Amino acid sequence: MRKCVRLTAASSNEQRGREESCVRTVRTLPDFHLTAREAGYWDRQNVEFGERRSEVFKTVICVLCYTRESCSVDLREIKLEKDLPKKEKHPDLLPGEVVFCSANPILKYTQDDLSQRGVFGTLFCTNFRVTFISDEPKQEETSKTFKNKLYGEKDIPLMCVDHIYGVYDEKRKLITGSFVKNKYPSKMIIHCKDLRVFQFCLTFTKEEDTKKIFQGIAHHCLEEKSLKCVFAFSYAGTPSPEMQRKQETIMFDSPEDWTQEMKRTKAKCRLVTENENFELSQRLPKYFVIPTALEDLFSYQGKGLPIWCWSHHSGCALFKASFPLMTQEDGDFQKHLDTMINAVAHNYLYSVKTEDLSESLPTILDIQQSYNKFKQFFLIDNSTDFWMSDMKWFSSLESSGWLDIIRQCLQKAVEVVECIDKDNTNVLITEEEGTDLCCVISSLAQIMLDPYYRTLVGFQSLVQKEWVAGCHAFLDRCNHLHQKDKECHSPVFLLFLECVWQLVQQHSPAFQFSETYLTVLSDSVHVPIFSTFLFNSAHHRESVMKAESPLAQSGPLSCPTVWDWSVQFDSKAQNFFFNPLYSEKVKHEKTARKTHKPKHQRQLSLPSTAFKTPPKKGFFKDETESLKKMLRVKRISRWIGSPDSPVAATREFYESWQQRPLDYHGLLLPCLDGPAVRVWMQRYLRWIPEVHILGGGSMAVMSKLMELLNQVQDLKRVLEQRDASQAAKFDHRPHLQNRLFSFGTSGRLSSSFPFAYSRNRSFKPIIPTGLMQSLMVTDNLASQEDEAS
Amino acid sequence: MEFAELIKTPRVDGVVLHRPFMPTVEGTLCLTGHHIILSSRQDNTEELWLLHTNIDSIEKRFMGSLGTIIVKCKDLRVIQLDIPGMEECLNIASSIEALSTLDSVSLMYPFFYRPLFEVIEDGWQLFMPEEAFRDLESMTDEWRLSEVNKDFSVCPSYPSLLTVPKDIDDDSLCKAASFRHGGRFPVLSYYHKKNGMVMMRAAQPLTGTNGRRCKEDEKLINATLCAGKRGYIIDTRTIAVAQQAKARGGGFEQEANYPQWRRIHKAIERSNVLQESLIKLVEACNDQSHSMDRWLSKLEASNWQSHVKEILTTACLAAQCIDREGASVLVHGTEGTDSTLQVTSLAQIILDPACRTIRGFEALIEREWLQAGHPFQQRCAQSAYSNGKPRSEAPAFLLFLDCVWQILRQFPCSFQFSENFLIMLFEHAYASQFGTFLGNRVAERVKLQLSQKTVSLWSWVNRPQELERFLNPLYEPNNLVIWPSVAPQSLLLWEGIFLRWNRSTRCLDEAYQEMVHIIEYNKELQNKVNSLRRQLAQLETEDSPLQTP
Repeated sequence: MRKCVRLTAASSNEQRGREESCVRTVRTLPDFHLTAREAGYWDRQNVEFGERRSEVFKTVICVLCYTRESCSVDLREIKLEKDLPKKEKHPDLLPGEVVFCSANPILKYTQDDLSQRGVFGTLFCTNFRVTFISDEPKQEETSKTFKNKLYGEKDIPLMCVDHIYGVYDEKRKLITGSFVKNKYPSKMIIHCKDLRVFQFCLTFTKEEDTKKIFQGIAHHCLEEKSLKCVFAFSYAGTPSPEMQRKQETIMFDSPEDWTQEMKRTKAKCRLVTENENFELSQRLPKYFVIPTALEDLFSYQGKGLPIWCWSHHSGCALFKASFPLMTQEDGDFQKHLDTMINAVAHNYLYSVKTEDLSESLPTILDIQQSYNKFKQFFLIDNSTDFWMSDMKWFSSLESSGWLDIIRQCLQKAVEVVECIDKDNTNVLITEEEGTDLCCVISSLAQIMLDPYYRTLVGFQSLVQKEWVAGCHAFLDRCNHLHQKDKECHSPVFLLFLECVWQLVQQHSPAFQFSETYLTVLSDSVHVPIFSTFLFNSAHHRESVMKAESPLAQSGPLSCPTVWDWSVQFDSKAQNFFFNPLYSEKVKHEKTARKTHKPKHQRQLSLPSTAFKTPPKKGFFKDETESLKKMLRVKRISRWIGSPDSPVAATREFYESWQQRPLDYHGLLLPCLDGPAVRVWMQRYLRWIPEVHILGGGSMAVMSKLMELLNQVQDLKRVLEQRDASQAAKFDHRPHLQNRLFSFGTSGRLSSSFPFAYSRNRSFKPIIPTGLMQSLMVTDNLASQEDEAS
Repeated sequence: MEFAELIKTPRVDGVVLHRPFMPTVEGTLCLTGHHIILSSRQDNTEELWLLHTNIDSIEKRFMGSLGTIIVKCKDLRVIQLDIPGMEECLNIASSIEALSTLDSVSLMYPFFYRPLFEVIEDGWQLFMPEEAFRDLESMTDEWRLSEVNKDFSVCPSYPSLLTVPKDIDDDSLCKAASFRHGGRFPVLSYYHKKNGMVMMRAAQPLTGTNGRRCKEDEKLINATLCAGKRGYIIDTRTIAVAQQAKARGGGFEQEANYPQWRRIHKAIERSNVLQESLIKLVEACNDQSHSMDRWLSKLEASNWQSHVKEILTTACLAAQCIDREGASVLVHGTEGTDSTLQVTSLAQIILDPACRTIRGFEALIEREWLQAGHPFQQRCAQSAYSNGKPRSEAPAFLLFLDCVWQILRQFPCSFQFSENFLIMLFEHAYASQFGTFLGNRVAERVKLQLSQKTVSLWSWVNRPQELERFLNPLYEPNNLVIWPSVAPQSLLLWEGIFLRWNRSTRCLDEAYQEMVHIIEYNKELQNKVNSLRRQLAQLETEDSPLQTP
C-alpha cells in the first residue's frame, strides 16, 4: 500500500489551506512519522539546507512516498522555494528537524505571576520538540553561560513531555490522546519530565489553528509511536570535533574494555564472548564476565547466570543475576541455580551471600507510583497553588514515600558493601529481570567502594557498564514511546541518580562531578538524540541500528552518546559539571594501598573450615556447598527475618567507619538517618520562582569558590610566567587549560542558577504574593471588628 | 559558703563518660560550686567542664552497684556518666540537681568568673544608646533622645534612654506609656536610610472592651508619618487572639482612631506554644529509631519549621513595607518583648547590611534584645529537656537565631559571621561565664551591677583570636537588601543546633577546612604576586637610569 502525501510547510496565508489539508492527511496515517531522514538526505545531496537558520522561510514541497509495511521513506521530488516574505519568526532548526505545525498568536503565561499575563508568540511542533517563539524582539541572552545547544528554555523535546492538560471552562482535564471530539481547550498546560510547566492560552488563535496545533502536539507527544519516529533517527548532526572526548569513557562494547576492567580490579573471572551474536540470550549483554568455575552456559537461555560487576582487592566480588520467580516445583531449575550460586562461591573462599532484591526492595511499580506522587509537589501551575500546598510540606513529602525508597536503596547498597568490604564474602544480588534494582544496588555499591567511579569519567563508565551494556530497559522504563497500557515504566535510573546525589551531598569532596552534572544527566534521558537511553538491551540496540543504517549507503546512523557533552554544551558550560571542592588523589596513596592489599590470602584449608559463619543475622544468607538445599526453603526463612536487624547492623558498620580517619579515596558510606536524606533541591525546585533566592543559595558559595580557585590558578600562572621570564625562557608556552572560571557577579545569581534565569532583574521580595490579598482580607476583618466594637 | 552544703560528695574516682561519636573517657569526677569536672588526669586528654547552669535535667539509673547519670544540657547535648557506688551516684545526682536550679542570680557563675585574658575593649561600654543616636543624628534631625525613663519608672522594661520623635514631649510620652502594656510606648527601632522610613516597636494598646483611646499615643505615632502617607501596624497576633486580649484590658489600634494606619495581623505563636514545639522537635531529633517516615511526620508535628516560616514572613513583610512600599511600620504583639523583637531585628538584618557584620550583629542584639527588654533569664531558664511545667520559658531567642541562620544559609556570602557565631550566642544565652545575658531588663542589670561585677560576652568575643573562629571565609560585603525565600522547601532544619550532638561533623569540618585553605592560599599567592610586582617595578626603575646613558 503506497500512499502519496504532499507536504507543505508554509507561512504565507495563501498556502495555509494547502498546508492544513496536508497536515490532515498526514495525521490520518496512524504510524506516520515525518522523519527528517529527508533532511539528512538533503544534506548528503548537498542541497542547500543550511539556510534553514536564515530569516527567510522556505516552502518545502516534497512528495513522500509512504509505505507502511517497510516504514521507509523515499524522496521523489525536492523543491525549494525561497524568499517568501516572512511574517512569523521561526525556530532555529536542528539538522534533520522538520516543523509539523504551528499557530499564531498563542499567549504563553509567565509562570511566576498570579495575573494572567504572558507573552504572545508562535507555537511550533516539530519532530524534535514543541517550541514557542515570542513575538517580542529577541532579548540578548548574553548572560546565559549555561546554554543547552539543542534546546532552549522555551523548547520541550517531545520525549520530555510528561502530561498535557486542557483547561475547559476553568476545569483542568488530563488529555490522554489526540482524539478530541468537538471542543478545544482554551488553555493548554504541559508538564515536562524535567519538571518545567508551560501554560499556553489558545483562545487568541483561529479555531482551525487551535485545532491544528493542539491535535498536533497531543498526537506527537501522547500517542504511542514506533521507535523509528524518535528524533534520534532523523537527527543529522555532524559529529563534533570534540568527539574524541567521549573516548575517555569506557563504553564496554568490546572484549578489550571488559578485560581492561578486570585487570583494573584484579578480578579472576572469565570473559564470555559466546553471546556476540546474541545466540545465548537476547536479554544478556554482548560481552560479559562470569565466575571461572562456571561451565554450563547454554542451559535455560542464560537465566540465572551470575554476571560479574566488580572485584574487591581482597578477591571477593559482586555479581548480579536474573533469577526468575518459580511458580511450581522445578527441581532441575533449582539445581541449575544452585550450580550458579556454587560457582559464585568458588570465586573466593567458598563464601557467598545471595540477596533477592525483589523481596526486600520496592517493586518497580511502587517506585513509579511513589515518584508520580512526589513529582506533583513540584509541578506547580501557579503561585496560589504553591502557597496553598506549603502548609503540609513535610507530611506530603512523607506520604509520597520517595525519600524512603531512596533510603532503602542506599541501605541495601551499604549492606552489600559491608559483606564485601568487612566480611570479604562474595555477593550475588538477584532479581527477576536482573536489570533494574540490581543495576541500582550494584552501581551504588561500586561508587561507595571504588573511588574511580567518583570521577566524572569513571561514573560515566559505570553507567555504561551497569546500565547501558548491562541491558537496563531504558526504552520501556522511561516510556519514550508513550505506551499506555504497559506497566513497565518506572524511573529506576532517576532513582539511581537520586541516590548518587545523596552521596554527593553528604561527601562533596569525594566526587569530581557536581550536582549540576547529575541534574543535567537526569534531563538528558529525555532528549531524543542520544543512543544511550533509547534501547531496551544491547541486542535491541544492535538490531535497530542494523535495520536503520542501510537506508543510504552513506554510512551508519550518527547517534551520539550522551557522554559527548559537546553536543549539548560548549566547553565553558561543561565546567559546571566539575566540583570545585573535589580533593584530587594524592599520588603516594596508591602505593600505600598496594601494600595493604594482600591482607586476605586465599586459604588452602579444606572447604569445611573455609566456610565463613555469618557474623550477623540479616537478609543475607550463607549459601555454601554444605547448605545446598532447596532455594525455596531459604526464601521462606528470609521472609521471617525481622526487618530491624540489618538496619542496626549497618548502623554499627557505619559508626565503625566513622571512627576511621577520613579518606575520600577509600570506602565511602552514606548516613542513613532520617534528616540526612533530603530533597534534591536543584533538580526539583529550579523552575519554581517562589523558592528562588536571588543573590543567594548554594550557588553563591559555589561561584565564590570557583572564583577563588580561578584566581589561585591565574596567580599560579602569573608566578610561573614570571619564573619563566626570569629564567629568560620566554616562549609561547601553552596556557594551563583553565578548567574553572567565574560565573560572573556572584551577588546577582539566583539559587536556581544555572538553570532558570529570573527575567526580572529587580530584587523582588519573595514572600507570598497572596499576602497582599490576605492583607486586604484581614484589613476588612479588622475594620468589621472595629465597627462591631 | 553555702555551695559546700549542697555538695555531699565532691570527688569520685573511676567515673566513665560516654558521649556520642566520641571515645569514652574514664577519670575522676569533681563537683564544684559551678562546674562538673571530669578529668582522666592524663596529659593531652580532653577534660569535661560543664556549668551547672547548662544542665537542663538529669536522669538516674542503676544496674547493681553501678549508677548511671544521664545529663541533658540546655545546649541540647546528652552525656552519660557511669558512677561506681550507689551512694556516690545518688549524692552526685542530688547535688547536681540542687546546684543547677539555684534561684539567686547573684550566686551565678559570672559573678565568680575571673577572665584569664586581658580585657582590652570593655563590652559593657561598647553599644550605648547614645552612640546609636549619634549615628541617627547624622542622617536625620527628626528624633531626640529622651530621658523620661531615667529611673525606669515610666517603663520598667525599657532602658533609660529612648529615641522618640522630636516633636513629642516627655509628658506626652508618659501618657502614651500609660496606654500601652507594661508602659512600652512606641519607640524607634530602625531608621531606613535609603528612603527615611522608620520601624517602631511597642506593646499592645490598652483599649480594653470599651475601646479606650489615647490622643498622645496617636499623636506620637502619627509624628513619624510623612504628610499624606499611610503607615502599617504589624500586629504579630491573629485578629482572634487580639480580640481576646481586649477582655484582659489589651487590644489593638482601632481603625477609626488611627485613620492613617493600616493594620496587618500575623500569626506568631505565644511563648508556651513555642516551648512545646521545641521540646517536640528535640525529641524527634534525638530519636534513635531512625525511621524515615516517622522522622518527617515528627518534624512536621513539632511545628518548629512553621514557626520559623511565620516569623520570617512577618519580618519580610515589615521589610517590604519599609523598602518597597515606602511606608513606616509599627510592630507590636502583646507585651512587645518577644515576637515583636524577633520581627524588628530580623527586618533589620534583611534591610541593613551593617547588621550582617559581627559588630553590627552584636549591636543589634544589644539594642533589640538586651536593651529592649527581652527577659532572657526567664525565657532561658529551661531548655528542651525540662520536665517541669513551663513557667515563662520560651525559645524566642533561639527561634530568632534560627531565622538568622536560614537567611545566612540562603545568602552564604553576605554575612561576616558564620554559623558558629550563632551557635555560640545560643549557648551563652542559656549558660555562660559572662554576665551579658543575665537579668531580664536593663533596670535589673543596673541593680545587679553587672557591668562592674561580671565580664561582658563582647569583651571576650571581640578579641581577635576568638573572633577568628566566627568569621565567614566567604564574606563579601553586600549592600543590597536581601530577600530570603520563605517557602517551606527553602527552610531547612538547623542541623548545627538540633543535630549537633547526634551526628559526626567530620565531613563538614573537612569541607570547611578545604574552603578556608583555598582562601588562605589565595591570599598567600596574591601577596606573593604583589611582592614580585613591586620587585619588578623596583628593578625596572633601577635599570632604566643605567640604560639611558
